Amino acid sequence: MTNKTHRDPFGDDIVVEPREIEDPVVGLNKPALDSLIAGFRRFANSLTPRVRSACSATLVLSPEPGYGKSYLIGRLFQQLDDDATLLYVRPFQDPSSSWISILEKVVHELDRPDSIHKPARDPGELTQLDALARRLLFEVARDLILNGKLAHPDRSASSSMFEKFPNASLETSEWRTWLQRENESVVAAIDQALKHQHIELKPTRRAWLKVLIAYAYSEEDITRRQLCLDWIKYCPLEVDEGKVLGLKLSELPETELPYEQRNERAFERLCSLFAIGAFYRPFLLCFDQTELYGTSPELARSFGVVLSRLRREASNHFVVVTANTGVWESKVRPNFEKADQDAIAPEPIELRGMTKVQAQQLVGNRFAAWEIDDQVAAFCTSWLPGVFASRDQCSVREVLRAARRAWGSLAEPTVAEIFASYRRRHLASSTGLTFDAGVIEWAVVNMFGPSLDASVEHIRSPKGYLTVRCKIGDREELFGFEAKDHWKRWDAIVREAERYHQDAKAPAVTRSCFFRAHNQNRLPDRVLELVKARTSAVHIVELNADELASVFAAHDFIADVSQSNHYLAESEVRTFLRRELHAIAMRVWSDTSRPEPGAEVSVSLAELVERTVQSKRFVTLTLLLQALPKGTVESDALRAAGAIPKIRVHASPSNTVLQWLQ
Amino acid sequence: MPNSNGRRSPGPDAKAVAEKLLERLSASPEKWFDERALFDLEGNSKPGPVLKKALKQLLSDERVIHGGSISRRKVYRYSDGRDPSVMLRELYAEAIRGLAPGFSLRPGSENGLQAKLPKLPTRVLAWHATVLKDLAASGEILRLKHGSSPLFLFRRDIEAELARVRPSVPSSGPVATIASHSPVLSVPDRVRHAYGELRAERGLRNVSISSLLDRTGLSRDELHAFLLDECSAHRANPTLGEPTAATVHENDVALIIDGRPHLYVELLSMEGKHD
Repeated sequence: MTNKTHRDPFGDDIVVEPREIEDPVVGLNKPALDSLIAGFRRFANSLTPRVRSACSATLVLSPEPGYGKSYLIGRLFQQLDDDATLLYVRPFQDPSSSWISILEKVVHELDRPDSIHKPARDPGELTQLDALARRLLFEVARDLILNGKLAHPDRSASSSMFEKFPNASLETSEWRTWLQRENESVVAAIDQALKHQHIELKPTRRAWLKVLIAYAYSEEDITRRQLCLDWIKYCPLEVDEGKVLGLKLSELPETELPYEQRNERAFERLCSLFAIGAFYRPFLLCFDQTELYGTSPELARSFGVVLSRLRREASNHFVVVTANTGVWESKVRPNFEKADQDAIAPEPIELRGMTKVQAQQLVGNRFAAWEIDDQVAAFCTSWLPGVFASRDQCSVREVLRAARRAWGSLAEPTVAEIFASYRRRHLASSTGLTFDAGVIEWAVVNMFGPSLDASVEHIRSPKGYLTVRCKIGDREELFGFEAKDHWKRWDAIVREAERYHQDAKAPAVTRSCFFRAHNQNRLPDRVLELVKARTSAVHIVELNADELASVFAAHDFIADVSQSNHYLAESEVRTFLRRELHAIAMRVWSDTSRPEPGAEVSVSLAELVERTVQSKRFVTLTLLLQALPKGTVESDALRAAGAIPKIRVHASPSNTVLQWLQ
Repeated sequence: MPNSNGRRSPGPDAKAVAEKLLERLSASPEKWFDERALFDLEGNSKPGPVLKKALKQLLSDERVIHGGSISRRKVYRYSDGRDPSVMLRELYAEAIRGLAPGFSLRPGSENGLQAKLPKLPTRVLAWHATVLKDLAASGEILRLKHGSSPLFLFRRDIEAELARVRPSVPSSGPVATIASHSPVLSVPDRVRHAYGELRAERGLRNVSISSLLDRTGLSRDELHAFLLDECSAHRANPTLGEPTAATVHENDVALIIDGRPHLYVELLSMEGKHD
């Protein structure tokens, strides 16, 4: 079961998630890492609070793909674990919603464990936003109580508590009761303290404090926490929901707002978040996979604007941008506006390849992780000298690929096998099937439309809810990508869709389409009734787990191809993916059949998966399926495995192996 | 148990000590440690056999380099895997480059130049003549005579002076380009000179082969022959770059190694293998 043929220790050659990187190779890109850390420390040690400080983005360049850009970010995260709020930001797809997309990703990152060493959040584990809220409260409330500006029954006891347990001083039930009882006066006092520091937050300091306190002290109340996250993301809330958080009507996000203004509000939220975090620690904002901005001059220009505005208008953040030199110099940087050029620091950090000694260490690390007892030196003898025959250093990916060939003389994987491995990764990840409006919009424009031979164009409807138009002959389908479920916004969406339908030259063949994921909240009944009454104008397509996995996998696959992470022609992969996604495109276009519902994975299946993997330690997906009840499908098994923190799924194109982590 | 070099590995104690030593050295990779600081020799004048064994193993694995001595004390430093001689040579070059601006505009002896450098161990100082030759070949310094005293002129200082006097003269001005094209220079010197200019202009070690070709004025075959020799001798590192982002010209003049086109190259003999 665990013999050599089942394991592919060199199959993973792309870092998908910087929070889950493997053991480091001594010395590899250490100067680059040291330089980033030194830059961050210089920034972090500047005036506290860092409400008015910002600096140019640090650029990390790789002379070819596979030198470890994402890995370097992972190392940086490990090194700065307690010293920064860590934000990993993948590219936005639409220039006009750049800030909405960035804010969405930032909030997703804030809701991740505060400790980098915890890939998934266990119950009771603090998130980054928890840490930020608690430390802000602690820093400000401590001073206020000790100075007598905030009343507390036992000032001397609190003083000693603050001294001894800075991280846990507001955690005891007495303190929680006090915070709850004195909520209004605590918020008012902190508000004054922030005002004294000239910290202006939008919409108000009070609203931010209310939301942060509500989030920090409602660990068990998932709905309340989600409301807080939605408010930070500028998603509309019901009035009653606002009341739960103690917010006034004027402090709630506006439900009907033109797109440009929503984008601007998202930027304001980001600035406020960074500013309020200045009392605790800086934000480390890492923009990775920037090759994707090279796909259009408009996207690249927009990325320049993002960096420039962050530098000029936001505070308390340190930005790292990674890029491959070729694309950066030919397709991204040249499209920046002249005024945005100085958003990047003039001295880039250039990555190095690995030396022969380091390559051997990497092989040793992989053997250790996969519990392989072979002699590293003996294994390397046959192929490693060849890799370094004409060079002194080599990309990590080249080394891994050569090692993989030597390990099993495996043939290069086919496009279909690579695509399947991406799908499996999404299915097996606890967050891999989270609705992402940007990716679904990408799929409509780049996959669904072309696979149906439709003409596709970006549009901007007056309210901004419809952003893509597909046309085949007279038939016209408009698309919108709304992630949330607020009835008032959906009411506005349906009204806009209906207006388009009525104003169309051929109303009978013009309608609007929206997407929902099987794992999202059900839309409110009144919205569903509204849609049901207007089926000729609007329809909602629900994507099940398999379909979502395919869409997200296609996006990631193309992203990696465009970053030259695979030796494949982009056109060939696009053609393949359009074929793969054709069935979904047809369903969206015709809406003739509903998908199989995305059934919840049963508890018994999850237990069986857990038991099987635990007993085998390493097991291939094929063997796991044989051990499960007849008829269990691959996607259910992978989703079950993805929900178990002790199981790591290695989905490489040649093989999928499930590992029980000790 | 023999290791990759066929040598015997140290016992478990020495292994643990070696890890500790490595941890300490890698925490300050830019620092030279003498034995006293490295081994925490409290009261003992010499390290014990386990410490010695651990250090010996690290040196033989090239995880640590021996720099000779400073003030008669042996010193060691963390190595990130490059060849020790290249590292020592590069450290000396970096020290020279680190001299304060304007230094080169004053005449002085070679010993005088060394006196201006930070304290360096003997095995780094031994590269003095070679590094000066390297830097002169790359065009980073000019070695002249002022009366009977040597005069070192740094290219960067000449450029700074030119910029001061005539602000419109670009930093990569015609002086450098003429030197790169000069038929008097040999092919290696022309390539190194052009490489030095391009590296300085772009701030990147990896320079595109097409820009080297344009800057040197050499034929493609001449440049390729030189670069292939340098790569085989491990004095240059080729990198693939991204053919999809490159122009037709850049792809046309790529250096083919093992059947694959390489768009960039880093010259190592004068720049060392790693920073």
